[in-house]
Amino acid sequence: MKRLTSKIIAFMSAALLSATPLNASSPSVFELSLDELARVVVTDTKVAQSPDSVTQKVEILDAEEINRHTSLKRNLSELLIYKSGLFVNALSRNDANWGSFGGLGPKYNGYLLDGLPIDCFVDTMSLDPWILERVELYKGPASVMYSNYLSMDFSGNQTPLTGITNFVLKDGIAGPLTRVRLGGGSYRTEGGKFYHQNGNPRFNYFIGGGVENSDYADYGAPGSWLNILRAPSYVKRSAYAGASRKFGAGQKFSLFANRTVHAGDAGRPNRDYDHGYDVLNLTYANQISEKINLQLKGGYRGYDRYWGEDNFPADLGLRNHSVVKQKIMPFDFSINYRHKGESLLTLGMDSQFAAYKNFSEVNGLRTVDVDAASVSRGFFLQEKLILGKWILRGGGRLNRASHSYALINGAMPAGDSTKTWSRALWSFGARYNKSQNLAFYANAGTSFVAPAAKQIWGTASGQIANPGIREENGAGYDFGMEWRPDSKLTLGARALVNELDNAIIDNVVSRNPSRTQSVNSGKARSYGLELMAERKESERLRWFANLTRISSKVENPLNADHDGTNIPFVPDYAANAGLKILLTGEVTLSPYVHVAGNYYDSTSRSGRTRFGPYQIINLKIQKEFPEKNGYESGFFIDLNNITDKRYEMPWQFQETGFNAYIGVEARF
Amino acid sequence: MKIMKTAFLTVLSFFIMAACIRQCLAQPTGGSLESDVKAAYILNIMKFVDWRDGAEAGGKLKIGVLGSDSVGEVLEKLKNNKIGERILVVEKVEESGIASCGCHLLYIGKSEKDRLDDILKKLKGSSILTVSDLPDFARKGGIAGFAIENDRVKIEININESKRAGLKIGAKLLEVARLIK
Repeated sequence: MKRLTSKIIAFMSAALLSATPLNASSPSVFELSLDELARVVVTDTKVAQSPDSVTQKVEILDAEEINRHTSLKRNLSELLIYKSGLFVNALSRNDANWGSFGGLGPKYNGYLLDGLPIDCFVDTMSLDPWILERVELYKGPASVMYSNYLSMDFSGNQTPLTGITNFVLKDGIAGPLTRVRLGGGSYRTEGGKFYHQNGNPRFNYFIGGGVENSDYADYGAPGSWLNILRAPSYVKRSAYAGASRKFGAGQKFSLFANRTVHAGDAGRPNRDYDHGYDVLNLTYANQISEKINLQLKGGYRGYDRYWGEDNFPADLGLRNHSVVKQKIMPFDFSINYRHKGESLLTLGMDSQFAAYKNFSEVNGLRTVDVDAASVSRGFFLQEKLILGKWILRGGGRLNRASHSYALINGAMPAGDSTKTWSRALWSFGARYNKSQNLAFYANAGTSFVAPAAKQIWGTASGQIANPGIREENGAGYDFGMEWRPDSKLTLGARALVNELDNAIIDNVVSRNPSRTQSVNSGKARSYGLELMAERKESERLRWFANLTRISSKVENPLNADHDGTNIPFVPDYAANAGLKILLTGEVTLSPYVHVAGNYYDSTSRSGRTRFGPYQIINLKIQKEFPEKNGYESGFFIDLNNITDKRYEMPWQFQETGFNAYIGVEARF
Repeated sequence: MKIMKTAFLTVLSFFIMAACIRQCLAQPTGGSLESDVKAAYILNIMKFVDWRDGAEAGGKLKIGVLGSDSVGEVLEKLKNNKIGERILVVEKVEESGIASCGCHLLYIGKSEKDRLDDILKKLKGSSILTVSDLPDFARKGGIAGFAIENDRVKIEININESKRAGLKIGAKLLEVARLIK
């Protein structure tokens, strides 16, 4: 590992050295692409701002990059996998993504769809990349402007302690465009996508959908509880629509709706599943005056999961079906007041309503195991002062969350069935733009996470109850720099510290059958360093490289087995490098390397399993044909995991090895 | 572990040290940032437009500058740059000869504000892409103009006028532009 890390450091250093021609001229603005010229970010203050005025490290993934990384498999997490500071495991096509952010577990990054929270585990699998204009990835503590996501499922509440990932929907569509893509590949995968947009200055819309069928591969480790006996069937269907209408001088109403269904089986006779995910976003925005902007957002997220459980290993007969129904409605109201030039005062409130039910179904008869509801309210205020080269940001949030339980393990709870938590959170940040090419920044913020119903009371299968689990409090700090030594190269470095009190951590307690328990692990800390380099040699050649080193530690003096261990699911290092080469004949080659170090699935020194290290090499080939009679076309080839690495992942999942996809696309 | 820490600290120190000794780089054109950005937009626009006379085969792309303003001044300094594989030619032109100037793109300076209607009439039937920094240029019959939105430069395209001129505008440009009909 040392050799590999040393090589990566040497690579990064070489990149750094190559970046400093002393006679470099800087026609920087003339080297920017159309996308870069048009770029703004919206997440920081909820209205459009220049990225130079954001105190956090911001990375923007534009439409071209989105297209390149999500050709057929359509998992938005594949977009993020090459970014520094985060680690994502797409466990399988029909299961949730898992990973870690900023040296903490999988729930410490707030995922948003146009400013309203979504689930980081499954919504990234259900939403189509073609709906997106760009992705804004903010790193560092930012818990003031956005609330937690009140998910009761997966790993519980999600909080923006280590950053925010905002998937920004298309808007301001300028003209008609229709895209059709057909493709297929490994595991008898076949699929197609359709997209159409049109618009004028006052009204624009897009609609689309997709299908994907596959006989997926055995994604279980040898001898695992997954015990896949045949190729698991997989069917995915999705449909979506978005529209935006402008009224009067500065009013706009937007909506977006998406429905994704995926069904199939896990490769055994009674391990069928049928999941449905719904997302609805509604936005009303009003630029009341030159200085005042008002936004009201509301949404609905529905997670309907249904899957069969058998009696494995005793026999493969049907034991029961498990059902999880979760509905979450987030609302956000904010007002921005622009003053002293570009300085911004933002204030507002947000609220969420969540309902969570967990059933068991035997012979068509459903028994409710858990019936819980949750409500949160938050009031936030943030001031961002732009004082010449300095940007100073500070804000606070009052958060109140309550959970009530109507049924626990099928019975009314004894005693108080409601739990309420109130916390005041803060966040500060500063940025110094020494020049157009060099900036320094630092941020600090706090977070709070209440345990989810599932973590307290468990589920019929999979999650073990822990009634004594308590809330956790977190704090995050980072500082870093961005440097453009010349018009082609961007370098970055960021150091981070995140700490949690009473950290709620998911421990894998049993692998066969798969059982997880959420526990308070005491104090947990992570220290990290990220190094990033990106060079755009020309329109035909660009590359990037990044390295993340994380050191994490759990302090639990009451339990020697857990004391001093690592935070689960956090690799000690991760590195990525990629290249985009545009060859003659409009052929683009994009090889990528992703390297991850060691990580564990539990804080129990005696019971944990170590995973990693591993390296993955992927190659994407795209060919564009010249436009003819208003039609553009092209094809792509995705060669994933070229060296056929088959490494084990948590819960006895396994990387499925080399796979390839090919497809064609027409645009008109 | 110590070796790792030392290596990381070394790299971090190098970053910071190199950053400190690096001098700020000057703007090459001497124009204001807004004018530079608008000129940069014009260069980018040319990458996404197909002229019906097959300009891509000609080896040169010609911008004519009519009248004067700060964007026109920046454009004149950009001559002989390359756009893709094509060399950029920038020349001052007179109003009387604009229709036959051989330009792919005509930049109309703000000084021509009062003569705009006459200029656009003279260009009817030609396949010249007209661009100007005049307010509401795309709404007044030009093809590409600029607007400032949230302190960012936004490009506006009059899609009907571009069709009339026989220009094919790429989807990428349409994606980032505001469409005027």
